[in-house]
Amino acid sequence: MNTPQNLDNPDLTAYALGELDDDQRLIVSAWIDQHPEAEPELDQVCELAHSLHTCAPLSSHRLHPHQRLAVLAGPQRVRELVAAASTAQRTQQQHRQKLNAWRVAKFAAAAAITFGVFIAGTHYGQRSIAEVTQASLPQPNTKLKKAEIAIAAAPKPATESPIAKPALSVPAIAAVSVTKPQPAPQVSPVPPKAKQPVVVATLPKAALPKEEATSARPPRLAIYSQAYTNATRDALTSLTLRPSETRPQPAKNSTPALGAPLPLDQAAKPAPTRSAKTPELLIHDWKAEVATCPWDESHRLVRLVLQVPGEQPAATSSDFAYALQVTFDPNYVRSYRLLAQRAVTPATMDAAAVHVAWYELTPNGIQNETATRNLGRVTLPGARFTTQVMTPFDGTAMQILDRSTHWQNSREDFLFETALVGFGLLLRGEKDIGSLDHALVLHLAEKSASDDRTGERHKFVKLVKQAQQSAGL
Amino acid sequence: MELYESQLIAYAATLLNGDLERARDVVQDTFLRLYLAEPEKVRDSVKAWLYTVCRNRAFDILRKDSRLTFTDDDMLQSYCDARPDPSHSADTHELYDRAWELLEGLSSNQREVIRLKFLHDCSYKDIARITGLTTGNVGFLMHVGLKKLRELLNHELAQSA
Repeated sequence: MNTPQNLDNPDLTAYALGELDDDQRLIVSAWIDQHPEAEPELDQVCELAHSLHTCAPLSSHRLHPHQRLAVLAGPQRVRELVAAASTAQRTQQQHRQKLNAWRVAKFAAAAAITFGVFIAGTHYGQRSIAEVTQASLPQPNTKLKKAEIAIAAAPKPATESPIAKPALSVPAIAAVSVTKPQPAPQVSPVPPKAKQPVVVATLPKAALPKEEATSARPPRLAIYSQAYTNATRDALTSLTLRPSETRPQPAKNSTPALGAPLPLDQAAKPAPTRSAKTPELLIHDWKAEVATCPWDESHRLVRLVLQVPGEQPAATSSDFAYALQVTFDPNYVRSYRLLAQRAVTPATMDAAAVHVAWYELTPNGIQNETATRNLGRVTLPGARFTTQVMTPFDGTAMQILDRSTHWQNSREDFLFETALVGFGLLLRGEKDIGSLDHALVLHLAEKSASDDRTGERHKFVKLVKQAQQSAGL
Repeated sequence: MELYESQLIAYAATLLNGDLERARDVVQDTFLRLYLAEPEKVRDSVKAWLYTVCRNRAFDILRKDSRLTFTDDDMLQSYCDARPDPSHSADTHELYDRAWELLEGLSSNQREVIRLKFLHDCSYKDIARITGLTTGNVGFLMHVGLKKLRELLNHELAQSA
């Protein structure tokens, strides 16, 4: 350790706090003896340290009894957690193995098709397209899809010849697309004079990129605004989540420019339906926010948010649906109604979709305004978090905690979305909307418009003003 | 458990912007993890181990919150509102009582080392282990933090005079 050079030295503070070992202390002590001006500095540090020690705020907070019990029953609980974690790990491993097997199978199938096409092309390459078509496909009544075959004959014959709509087999397609280069007269289509259609193979529909318009899907907003449900009679309500509906579309440039055509008789068939069981729904995170309802402050507004990865097995089929179950505690909630549900598709594959649901609750009886109440819980059977964390909490359930937050103190996002929901209620002329009117919607929207990165909030404010004027208000 | 329960809850609550319920959850989790820990790792200093795990879990929760861009503005607001008027502090002794309140004027890492030292009685070595800093860094943060705190107190004293 070096000798302190001046009064502004961490070692002097450490000396005053007794944090130096014997050797260091001796060095600093000797230096202080030589520099008496350091003593007032040390005294001040000691005095401040003493004050901090003596005036330290005492903490009397304890764990809740059920938490204490959980800790005291720790070994048993830990064994359960370890078992649960290993089960989840095994399931994940099995899923990964299945995925790998499926990839290998796809690769093998693609290789086999390519090889088959190559062999077929080698055998039939010497024939002209028309000859091959006529020789191999004498089925006049088979229909073809427009996307699969384009008929390039200039004037369509008045009476359709039997070869006008042929069903191409593997050799026919192979002759078009994959055969080695042949002398022009042999591979060229039938001359126009013969007025026979030229069959041109194009990408099969299954291989075409999906419509671009769907890649910029707008947020799906489903307004329900159900009537109030008595929480005592029916405490459980359920929402359906379909991750496939919020699955992002692949980027445009990811589509291959050239694709080997599938045999048409295969491409025309519907995709094989797999009787796979419903996969686990992966979720990044979820959250419940509660605040007083702006149009009726005796009510509560609950906003549930889920982040669901866009690219996951559960999003591959629209058959996979998951029930988001919301159970309200009748001790605290007299009645409830679902105001709206919204799902936002992410822009990219690696981003997460956001599912949001709004509930309006009527609290049960007179509550202590400062206490935190547990209004209910949210469960999502068949779901699993993407981040495996070993916690004592029940990872499959989320508590809806009401911390008596006033809506004016809520976050701007919460306020803006409340304005959206309120505007929806107004437009549809819903009942039981308390003091909700255009002015309140405007107030909510304007209050939340300070952080408007996309400009959508100001657009919404303008829209509400127009609606207000149109309504003659 | 009795020994560290309250202190850990207070520590976690400071990291979680005063959210006591989540602080309790974190502390419960910390105690449960103690069962899973290898005895060799804990044997050196149970206290430092508990604080380290508690801190990491609290930061996990904060990270999750920031991923969803949820911020607890209410808590921040209530904190700002709860600060007493400086004019109420008349003499030096009262000013020293206010040292813990003035701590909020320091940076977060300075606050943390000072809290761990004076509120939780941790040594420099323990603090270094908990925060992942070197002992030298801890000493520097403590020195700068206490110096800044003295400046703030002097400023308050000058205002009240």
